[in-house]
Amino acid sequence: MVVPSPAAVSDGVVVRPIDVDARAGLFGIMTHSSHAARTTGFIIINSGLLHRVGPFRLYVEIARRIADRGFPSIRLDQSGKGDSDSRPGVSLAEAATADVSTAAICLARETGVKRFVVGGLCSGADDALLVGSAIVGLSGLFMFDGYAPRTARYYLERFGPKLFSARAWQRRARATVGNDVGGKAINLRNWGPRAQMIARYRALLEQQVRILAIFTSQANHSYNYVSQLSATVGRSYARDLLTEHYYPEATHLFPVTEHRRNAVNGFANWAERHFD
Amino acid sequence: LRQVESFFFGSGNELFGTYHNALAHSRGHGVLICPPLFSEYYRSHFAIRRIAAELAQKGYDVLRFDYSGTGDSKGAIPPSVCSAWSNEIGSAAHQLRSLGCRVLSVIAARFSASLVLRWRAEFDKYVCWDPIFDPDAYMRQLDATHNASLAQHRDMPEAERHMRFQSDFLGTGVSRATIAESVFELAGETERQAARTLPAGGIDVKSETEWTSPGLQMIYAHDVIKRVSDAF
Repeated sequence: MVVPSPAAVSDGVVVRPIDVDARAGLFGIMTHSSHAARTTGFIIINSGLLHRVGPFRLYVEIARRIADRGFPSIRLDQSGKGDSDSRPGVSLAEAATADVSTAAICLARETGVKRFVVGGLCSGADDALLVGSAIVGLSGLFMFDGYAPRTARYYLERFGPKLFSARAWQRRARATVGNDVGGKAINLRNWGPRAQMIARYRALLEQQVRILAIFTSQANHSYNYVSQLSATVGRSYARDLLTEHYYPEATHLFPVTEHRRNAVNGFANWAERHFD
Repeated sequence: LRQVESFFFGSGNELFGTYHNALAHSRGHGVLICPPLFSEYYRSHFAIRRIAAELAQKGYDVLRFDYSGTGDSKGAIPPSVCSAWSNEIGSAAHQLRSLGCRVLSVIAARFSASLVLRWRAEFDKYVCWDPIFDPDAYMRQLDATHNASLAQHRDMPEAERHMRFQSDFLGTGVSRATIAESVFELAGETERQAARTLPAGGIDVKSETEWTSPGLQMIYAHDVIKRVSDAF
């Protein structure tokens, strides 16, 4: 009999499937270093309906890169996604809170970490912002293409150059007759009112939670210059707690390996700089 | 092993698999599920999990797995992509047999139906789920997905975009030429083999699945899930 292995080990990084909560049918993949032991762990939550690997394996690459620097993580399948069972009769917000809280407990039990960083891409970013304050021991939040309120400068950056561009007017004309399919933003995000969203950021920053907000070109209907989020949240709140990475060459799902690598490196550097 | 157990297997534990133990009285009959590739892999995860669960209800032991460099398996996509992935089907079949299954069958989705060909003698039933008989159409579909994923690079002329990302087709880090070569090599053979195999225990499931959609929208086609699992 060929006995399967509960874990895969490669270059000092251990990857193993884990029942985050066997009774609730909550599943994830834990990734950690075989030698280093940090006190902060990361919980990476689903992007939309994609399972725990993330688009183009973005989450796999993040987990392996930060494990290489000593941080353990769980790539969590939230209830009803990937290989996790759904939680019947529970609202999406309640389920997300329960899922992430349970993952934090599991990660602490398995690796001894005491502090947590939570986040994801797209709806994963939204969920992290929604449930973050309910997570005991939260010290960081990361969001790929999360919410960013628009500013006056945003509109200037977006429309200013186009006013004097013949190419932009031609493109506009083509779009008007229905031949241009590029660049349309599809907003399926369930963001609350602007004031409420800003209040969420501020509440976390007041709790000394560090935030990494990563934006791509496809956030360009809400974000288009570095420090836009700090400007709207307020510099007195942001201080050195809020970091913004902007990748205008990348698109929302990071389908290009080079772009993905840059974002993952930036992410790992942020983790190493700010967490034990 | 528990009711549903995930683990790593293969010569270097490089492959991630999830095993569904037969819930009803076990027939000693294992079903290997080989997923589709590239964007289709992400989109079909839910459907494949459901198919595995339904077959386990019927008394089959099921193993679904990720090819190396995909999903939760280790590493990057291997340079000799098709021979490597085809070999991994052999490893997965071996793993399933060693878990106590006397008889094996396979469900191979899309391009996996081509990769599984050389192993067909291993399997009692050979279920092709929308196999690739037309390599040109398949490559056109992959090109559309690739181009759609890069469509936001609007400030870059299309020719430059085309050149720049040829060596990173569909975000795999592998060139389009490498993938196209394998597709053309195997897909023609798929049709010839299928013509021989289907009457002798093979089942071709044609679905209405929107494989041609260029995004990563999930496939929730319950009728397809039912038809694939009803093949057993």
